Amino acid sequence: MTERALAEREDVEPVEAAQGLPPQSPWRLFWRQFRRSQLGVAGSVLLAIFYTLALFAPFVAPYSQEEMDRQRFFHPPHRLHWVDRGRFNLLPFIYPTRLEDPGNLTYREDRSRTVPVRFFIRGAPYRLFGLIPSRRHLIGVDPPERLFLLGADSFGRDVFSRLLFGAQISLTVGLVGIAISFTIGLLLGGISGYFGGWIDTVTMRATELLLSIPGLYLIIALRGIFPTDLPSQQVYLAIVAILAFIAWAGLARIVRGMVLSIRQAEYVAAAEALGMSRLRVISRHILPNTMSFVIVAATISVPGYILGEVVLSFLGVGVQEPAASWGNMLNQARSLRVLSSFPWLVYVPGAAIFLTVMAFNLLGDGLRDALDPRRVMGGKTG
Amino acid sequence: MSEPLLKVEELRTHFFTDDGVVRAVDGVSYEIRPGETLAVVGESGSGKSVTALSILRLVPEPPGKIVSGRILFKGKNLLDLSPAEMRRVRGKEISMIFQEPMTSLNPVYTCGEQIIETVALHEGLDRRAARERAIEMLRTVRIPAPEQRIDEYPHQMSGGMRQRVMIAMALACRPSILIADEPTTALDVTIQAQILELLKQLQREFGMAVLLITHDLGVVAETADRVAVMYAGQVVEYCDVASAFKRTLHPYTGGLKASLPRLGVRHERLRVIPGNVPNPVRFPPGCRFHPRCPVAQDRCRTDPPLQAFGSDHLSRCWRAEEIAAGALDPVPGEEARRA
Repeated sequence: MTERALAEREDVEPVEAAQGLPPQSPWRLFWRQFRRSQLGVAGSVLLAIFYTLALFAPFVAPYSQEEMDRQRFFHPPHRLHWVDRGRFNLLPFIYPTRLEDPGNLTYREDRSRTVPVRFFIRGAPYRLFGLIPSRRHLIGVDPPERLFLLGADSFGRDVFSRLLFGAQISLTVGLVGIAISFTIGLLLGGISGYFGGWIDTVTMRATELLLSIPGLYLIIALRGIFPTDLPSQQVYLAIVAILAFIAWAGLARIVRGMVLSIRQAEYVAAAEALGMSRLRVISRHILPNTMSFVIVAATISVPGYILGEVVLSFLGVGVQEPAASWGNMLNQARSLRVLSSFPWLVYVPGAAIFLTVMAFNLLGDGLRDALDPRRVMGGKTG
Repeated sequence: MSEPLLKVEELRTHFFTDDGVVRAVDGVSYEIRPGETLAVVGESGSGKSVTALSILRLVPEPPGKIVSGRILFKGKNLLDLSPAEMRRVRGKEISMIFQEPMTSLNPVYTCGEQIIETVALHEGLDRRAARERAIEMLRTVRIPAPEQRIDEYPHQMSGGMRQRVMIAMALACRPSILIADEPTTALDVTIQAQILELLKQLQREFGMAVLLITHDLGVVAETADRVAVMYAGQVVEYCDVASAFKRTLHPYTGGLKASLPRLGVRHERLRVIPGNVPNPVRFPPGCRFHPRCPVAQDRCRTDPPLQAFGSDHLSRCWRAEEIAAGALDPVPGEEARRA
């Protein structure tokens, strides 16, 4: 017999028991569980870093995503040095390079002079968050030299800068996408499961139809609806819309199943018996109980959008040059010559995609463990 | 005699399934007067819960449908109300509590939020006033330290506590009728007694009527004023609680009574009513109890009417007259066993 049950018998609550137990809100329980998952925490830290970098991309990047250098096509990543002829420098520097072999495009460091790497350097003007005008860049070198931390592409554009600007697209495609597809999926799944009958039949047959079409063909066919020469922002929106349109179906099916089981719960009957409207019952009492699943599903489905954008851009129907995205950066690396001679063009966006997708999956696993309904909602028996 | 508060007349609720029409409620009538407790007794599947859900019009539709009948609440037929008008009745005029206190509170909200939601919905109180009311209600249902308990989640509470919170929710808007669908079945016996006692006290305090659905005759004897015994979608006996135990006029009620274990008597086995509840798609013709009835006759293959005996005692049995006259023992052998 637990202390509380005993207390209930006598209708007197021991004071220390009442005060010793703070309300265990779902958030508190979740946080306690989540902290235990080291990989989940690692994933979330990594993502926090990536998203911060993307947010501050114009400041962190030494150049804009479009700035070309016609003298330095396919320039390899600069090596940062601290020691010049036995003298140690506190701040890193680079050696200027010159084109050694125009045929093979190999560059050679000129060790006769050093070019110091400067921080908070004045450079090209930009607007942070599209609002705050500034010329300061986190890192750079004095012109006419250029800093290619991760190399340059076929137009002599800085890969590091393009990676940061590309992240703005590639990392938000997933968030905007799940916002759209989860809204549709939750609403349709919720209505379908709650009302049942012909509404359920129509919705579920529609999702089956959508799910039965191979995804890639559907993506390309939908892309065909939009003109190919749209401005890059509209292309971005079109891509998100296409990916979200495909993704809601699977979610709607799962949510419907969950709603079917939750609506059997007596608290739903109780809410109805207390006079709540159907919409209120769905939105306030049924859908919140699917949240632990939805949060995990959302986290795990973000990589799908990132990869979807990569596929579209790789096929040349995604984000159009000169705007950068991780997908069209990889697109440049389609030829064997690039792969063998200028591997940074593959490794850099590839690694970024890999790390992001992995971080989302780790975070998703951590969330799943922490939000396991059996642990969070586990009641004690009276 | 006061006017009935709620009057169910010839209610028929059927479920249209692939296997056929399930006549879950088939011509049920009963009434509840202000402040009294009506117990509806019957086995699982006798239609007692569906009748209650029909009163609140919460029968899932489809497959269920209220086919005919009237439900008069304070003179208005609830079956004529629009869905919005019906929602104003639920929780405000007629409330309901359920069997499973473990699942009848939403796990994602605190107990307080759930009471506050109901109060805010029906009475239009602002949050602060609604919270005051919620604390007051928790105190009313004898939850200790309500100011702290109000912010706890259902999983932090025991079954008895949760049922108390559920009662607080149901009574927060002072309804005139509380429908309690087996409110103590899932609780252990000592908590059961507490909850029943609480319901009795609250009934006196609030002056509300209670429609108590149960299969436990012990609970009936302790709490009810009147009893409606249901079998296979029909009321078979309807009387005050004393008559139900002392002057039973239907063999089914007699059988239920006989199956109760008695204190101080050694039983080899508990007495049972032979057979099973009939398949609701194909009820037997005539009296629905006759295949299981120990005193059935040929006449029982035709429908028995619900006959009145005395001022307030109804029985749906061809042989009720003989039973009333003392010429027939509704449960043969029971007297001998008792002796």
